[in-house]
Amino acid sequence: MFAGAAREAVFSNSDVIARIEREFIPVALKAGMVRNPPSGVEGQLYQELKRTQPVTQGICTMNSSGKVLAWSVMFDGNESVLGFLDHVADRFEETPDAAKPVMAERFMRFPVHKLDDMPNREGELEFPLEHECLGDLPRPKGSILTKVVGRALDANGLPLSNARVQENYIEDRFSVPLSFQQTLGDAAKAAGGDAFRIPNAFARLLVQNAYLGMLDVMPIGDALIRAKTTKADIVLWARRTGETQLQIWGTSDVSAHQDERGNRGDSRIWEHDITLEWQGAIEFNDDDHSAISKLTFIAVGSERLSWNRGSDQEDGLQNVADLPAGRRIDFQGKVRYGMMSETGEAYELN
Amino acid sequence: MKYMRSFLLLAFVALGANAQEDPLSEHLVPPQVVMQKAVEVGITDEQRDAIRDAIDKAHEQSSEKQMALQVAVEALGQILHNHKIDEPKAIEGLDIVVDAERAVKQLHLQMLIQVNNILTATQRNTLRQFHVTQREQHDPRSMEKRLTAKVKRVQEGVQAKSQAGEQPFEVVKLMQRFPKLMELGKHAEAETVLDKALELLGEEDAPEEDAPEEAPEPPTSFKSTEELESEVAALRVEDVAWRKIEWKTCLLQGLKASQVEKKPIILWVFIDRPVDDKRC
Repeated sequence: MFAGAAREAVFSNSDVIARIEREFIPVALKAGMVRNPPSGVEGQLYQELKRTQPVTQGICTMNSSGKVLAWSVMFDGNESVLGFLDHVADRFEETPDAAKPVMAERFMRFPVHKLDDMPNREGELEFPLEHECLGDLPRPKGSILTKVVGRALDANGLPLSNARVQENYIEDRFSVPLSFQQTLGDAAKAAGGDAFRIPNAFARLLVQNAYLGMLDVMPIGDALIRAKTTKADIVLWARRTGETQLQIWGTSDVSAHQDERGNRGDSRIWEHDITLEWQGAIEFNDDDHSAISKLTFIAVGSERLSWNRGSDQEDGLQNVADLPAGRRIDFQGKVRYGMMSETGEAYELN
Repeated sequence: MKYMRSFLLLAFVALGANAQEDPLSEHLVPPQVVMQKAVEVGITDEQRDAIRDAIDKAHEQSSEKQMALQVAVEALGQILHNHKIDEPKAIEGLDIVVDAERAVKQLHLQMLIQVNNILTATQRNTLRQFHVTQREQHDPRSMEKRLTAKVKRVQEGVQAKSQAGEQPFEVVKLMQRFPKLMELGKHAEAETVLDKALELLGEEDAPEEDAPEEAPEPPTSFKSTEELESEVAALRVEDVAWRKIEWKTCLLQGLKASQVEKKPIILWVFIDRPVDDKRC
């Protein structure tokens, strides 16, 4: 929950945004890279983050030599976020590089809950001018990148306006592997001109990505987030409308709640039900149907999401003092999702 | 036949090794089950409030305890990471981890006890029965029973083929993967192996989910690709607060910018990638 909560409570605050844009270099990193640092100079920097971090996720600051100035996992209040930025700016002024030793400060909750400092890392790293960036998003060769937008609707069917919170608005992306495209192509060829049910794995991939809320409430993702999927009725059909085009339609009805193994002793209780009607179009590169060139879907229906943990702020915003737990969510209403494929952007893995 | 007996024995051993159970969980009804069946067992508003209070109270304390556990695990990891491991320090570190784990588990158990004590005897009995039934349906032991039955069917199929003078080497070769998959906890893959073996023996199960024979009625009016694209584009909000910060994703590029612009770096370290357009 940390990342979603931090995005909503810390990095959507206009004062914080202004300060970061003006006075900091913002860099977003995956915790997995910190936990398992790669080799090379960049890996040594990740190693330094690993050495100093209080917990696996958090907000960290560094000077221009890659020395950690301070970490914080949470903040006492909104003012403390700005206080943290002030504090780090002062530390940077004192130690902007490796000329003087730098102790890495660590806060569970800034400024009150402070852990022991970590000692200075000896030596200075030489950074290469050219390198292959480890932060790029890779995707398998031949896969097609698809972007998702989801909106909660009001009683009149109009999208709710507060796009800052993920139970109202989500953006996401996923890749459709080449093998999925080929399986769909084979099914289309086998069906000739008849309607056919699209392969389960393909249908499931689409439905898996259509939900509001954070990663923790993914309804079909047992292995990933330890959800207990209690229903996954997915029936999507297709028919050819030309040599290379398919029309898709159908329904999905999925339900999930926390897995007993998944609550990790933090008492989380959540439930998520999503019922959607789908309509879409898929275009293949050629009449051999070997790869998809374009994919577009709209899905409309209703959704119910409840999440019990975290703060209970009346303004519906996250509490910066409780970032790992997030915020209570109780949503029930109409929803609308859109999916559209894109090309380029991420580099391809062979 | 010796090799066939060997792989079947291994398959059963693999099953036995994975038969684990939590002997205590059947005694306490978890709060999600109480809430799920609240209407059926007549949970009153007062009980509901008391249960929520118990959960809230546990939650208030759980973040700190979880954090303490994570800190303790990290600290122990640091000690163990050193080339020469300081044994007394490592043992001391382990004690701290175990204490922190105990605190987390104790808190969870306390919450469960409090929730169960709020229920009447009748409610608790009904919910406990429901919980046990529900567990049995999803429990690894049910999976074990299913896999055991399938292994038995493979065994019988192999014997039948052998008696008919055939040597199902392909099935035997396939089944060699089964014990390893069970050992690794890859139960779904292990079951796939069994299904494939049954298929090779001509005894595959009927698919769990039969596709309807007739396609459901398509929408009365299909939207064109252009209309769909336009609707998808209209859903996107350009001016979202969290999109305003332009996060770099390369640490080295960030350091280079830090040196040129003489500004500190702020790093957002997270499980997934919430920059730009990713859910987080």
